[in-house]
Amino acid sequence: MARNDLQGSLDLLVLKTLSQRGKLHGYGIVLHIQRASDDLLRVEEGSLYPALHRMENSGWIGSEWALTETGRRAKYYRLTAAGRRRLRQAEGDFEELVKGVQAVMRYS
Amino acid sequence: MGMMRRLRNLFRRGRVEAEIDAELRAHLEMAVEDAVRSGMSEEEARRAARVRFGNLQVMRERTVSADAVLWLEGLWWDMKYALRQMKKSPGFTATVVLTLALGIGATTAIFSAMNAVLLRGLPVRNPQRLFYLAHENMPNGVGDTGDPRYTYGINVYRRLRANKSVFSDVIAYVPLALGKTAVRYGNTAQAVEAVEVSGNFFSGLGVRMAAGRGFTEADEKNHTQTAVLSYGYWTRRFNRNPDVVGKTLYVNGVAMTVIGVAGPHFYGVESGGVKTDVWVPLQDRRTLGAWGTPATMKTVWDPNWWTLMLMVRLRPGVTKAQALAVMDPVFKRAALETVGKDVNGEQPPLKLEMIPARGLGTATQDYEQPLHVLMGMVALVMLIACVNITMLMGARNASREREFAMRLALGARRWPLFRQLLTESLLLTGAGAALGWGFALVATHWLGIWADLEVSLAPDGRVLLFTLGISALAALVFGLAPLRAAVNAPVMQAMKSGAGQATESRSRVLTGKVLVVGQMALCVALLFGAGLLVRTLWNYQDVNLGMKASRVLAFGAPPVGVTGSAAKLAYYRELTEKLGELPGVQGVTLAQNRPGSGWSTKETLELDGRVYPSEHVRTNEVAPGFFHTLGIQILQGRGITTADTKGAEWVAVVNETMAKRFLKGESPIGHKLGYPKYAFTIVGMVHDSKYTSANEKPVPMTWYSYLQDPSSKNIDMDVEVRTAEKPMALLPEIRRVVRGVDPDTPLENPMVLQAQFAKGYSISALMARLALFFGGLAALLVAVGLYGTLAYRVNRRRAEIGVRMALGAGRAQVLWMVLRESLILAAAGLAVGLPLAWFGAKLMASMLYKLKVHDPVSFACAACGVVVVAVVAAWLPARRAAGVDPMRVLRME
Repeated sequence: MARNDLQGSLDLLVLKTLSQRGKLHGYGIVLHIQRASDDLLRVEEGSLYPALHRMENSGWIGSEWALTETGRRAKYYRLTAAGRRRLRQAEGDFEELVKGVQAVMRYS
Repeated sequence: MGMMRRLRNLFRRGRVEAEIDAELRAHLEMAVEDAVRSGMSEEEARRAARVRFGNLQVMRERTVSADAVLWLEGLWWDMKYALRQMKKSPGFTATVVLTLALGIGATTAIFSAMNAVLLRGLPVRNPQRLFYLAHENMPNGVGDTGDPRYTYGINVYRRLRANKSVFSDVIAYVPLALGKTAVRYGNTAQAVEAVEVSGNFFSGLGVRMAAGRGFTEADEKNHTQTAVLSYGYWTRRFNRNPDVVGKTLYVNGVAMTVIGVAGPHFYGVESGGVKTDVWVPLQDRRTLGAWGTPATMKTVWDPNWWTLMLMVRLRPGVTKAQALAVMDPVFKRAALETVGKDVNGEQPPLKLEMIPARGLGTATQDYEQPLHVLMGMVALVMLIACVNITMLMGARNASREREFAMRLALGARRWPLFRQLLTESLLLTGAGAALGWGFALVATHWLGIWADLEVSLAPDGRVLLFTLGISALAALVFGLAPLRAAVNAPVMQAMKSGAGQATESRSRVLTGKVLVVGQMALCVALLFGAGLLVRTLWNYQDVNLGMKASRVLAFGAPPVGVTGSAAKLAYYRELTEKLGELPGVQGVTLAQNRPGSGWSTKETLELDGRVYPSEHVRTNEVAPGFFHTLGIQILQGRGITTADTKGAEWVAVVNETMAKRFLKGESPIGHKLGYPKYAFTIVGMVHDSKYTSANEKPVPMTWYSYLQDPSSKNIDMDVEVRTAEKPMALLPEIRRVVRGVDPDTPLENPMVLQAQFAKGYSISALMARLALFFGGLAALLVAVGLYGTLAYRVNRRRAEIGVRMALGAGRAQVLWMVLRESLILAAAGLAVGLPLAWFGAKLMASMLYKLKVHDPVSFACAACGVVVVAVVAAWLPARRAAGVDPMRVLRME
């Protein structure tokens, strides 16, 4: 069975965000997830940065320093090929999880 | 602002931290900007952001360690997996770890011995710049102490020392006795190793002092009555009491004030790892002569009596070759300078050499070849052990091959697989190496005792590096070998075959067989070498010494405080008489040189007035009853008697070889030996006996009566006692008698004469023991490897065996089938191993005694050994094969 824990969900959110938005810095990822989920999900910075670095070390995402629109230097992340594969797998896992949870909820 | 500074302060360390710092700061700033834009005050916005960020320190640490955690976690899982695998097959794990431990332990122990004996520098400042001086030949007209290669006269020492161009120091030293020197402190006398040395001994060598000071030039010049103790002696005798500095010791009865204690690891520079206890400055008194020989009337200060041993310290920037180019002419000139004009004939060529002060110093060469041979042997044992482990791991991984193939086929990367295999092999090798290190510690302890060495052979940092190196190499090889097999595994085949029968490819069987044959071949070579060395030892032990050495106890009892020849003669007379009265004593005598100790004296032969300039006879001065006590058969005439005193006719006894070689076999009785004016009449001829060592060739020999010593020497004699029962059992009684005659006299080197001779071939004895052990170990390892191979094969062929038996093959036939396979492997091993042994043995030629290099008996023993190994290893698998129940096997198929 795939890893369907919370860390897995955070990885999925980050990977998905990057696949939708291309290059993005950490703050941007927080904002995107918040907006896209209509303020339902708020990613904790305390979890986000360790996760970003772990994923970077696993080769799922790459990074570079670039200027923001306001002229501030920030670290931008983007998806790698391995990250794309990982995303597909994570999406599959997540769907299974949802199905599984739903099945349990509907069971009577 | 305070927060930013705190952030900065927090994230000062390292580039990674700095980058994370920058990243987080950017995040904060962007969050604050957005908040301000939506109408919040800046202060409020910062506080909100800080609350959201929580504990910054924790967050930063978690971010930083994301990488490390991932890696460590992987390692942790690999370790847990590997441990689980090891627990699942305890037999396999134990075999691998034990095999490795034996291999690594043996290799480490021998390397450690080699390090201590051949490689390790002295524990002083810049030991690599220290050398012993040696030279070829002695000038004619110069006397020596029997160790001519390393001794020099006082003139040579002074001349070498005066030339400061290449040597910063020339250091001289010489022991005060052949054996031990009597040193008294308070009322107790002890026999200790005492050496007289030049004033620059401690400063030139660069020895750190533990207490007090070392000697100075003034100490040498004035022959001061001072002494320096070794740390070991200080500990043993004085319990490291610092108050001993300033106290007085009596060295051979001469008062010496202790001025210092040498540093803890320095045990002197004497050859063969003999530890010095006391040093004194070079002396000029009769009672403190070099090698304890005042009797010859010669001292260190006689330029034509070479006794001093020299060490030099090379100046920085000067090479050995440059130094020799400068000093060789200086040496030659100085050597011939003092030789009288009356020495006629051409002088032999002289040549100065420098020997690095390493290991056991000048004794290094005695051990060089044995240690290299041993190192070669353990390397072979290690190789056999490694092959065994490779085969074991291969066999085990064969059953996991399917797993690997599957994982690779499903897209697993090779790196994690490799890492996992490497972790497993690292764990196994680590355990083996740790256990092996323990073995080596025990082994070196015993090696030191067996080899009769005073210096410790225990492993040091260099040995640890060596052990870690070979272990790491082993781990890498064992880890990589199965990976290669796994990566090359035919995926389809591996997947198709059933779980219980991993494929047994032709190539694997062949590889296994080749490896076993290779092991067999190495084993043959090792067994052959062991055979040669054991037979050499037997040859030594079988030597007819020409005397009843096992019944004779020898010891030194030099009287302390007895001076003058009359007093010494009286002392020895009283001692021999009292010893003779002891029950169980059958004879007591004295000898200047103890037979078997290696010490001897020699003189140029003068027979019936004719001088033979190139012929030497070995001589010994003995007391009455010598031949009777030692059990040397008198063939003609008589031995030395109590009547042979100073006033009587001077007499000599010769051996058979003397008569045979110089008198054409006619009776020597009545012939005259020596300078005509002081000629000795030959009164007896005795059977040949060994003098310096068991392996000495028969030499012409003469014995004189010590009571007739013409130069009224007052030498210290060795005492020999013949006993009815075990000689050592009499030792306490003998001690009591000696104490009764002179309470200050210590008993030196008490030993059965047989054991004294055995000391001469102790290296051979040790070699034989070790070679036998390594041979046995190799045989055991090969048997285990062969057993594993055969058992595996039988397991795989159960079906075939079942069919054969169903078709009428008997138990005997099945037994023979397995046994034959084993014997064929042994035969192949012999075919490869015998030529290997044939050529390898040539390296050992110089270590053999009374034995040809290609000794047929040793060859036969090696061959038998391998056949026995083959049969023993095949026995269990063969029986298992014969026990196969055809019905069950066929049903299973």
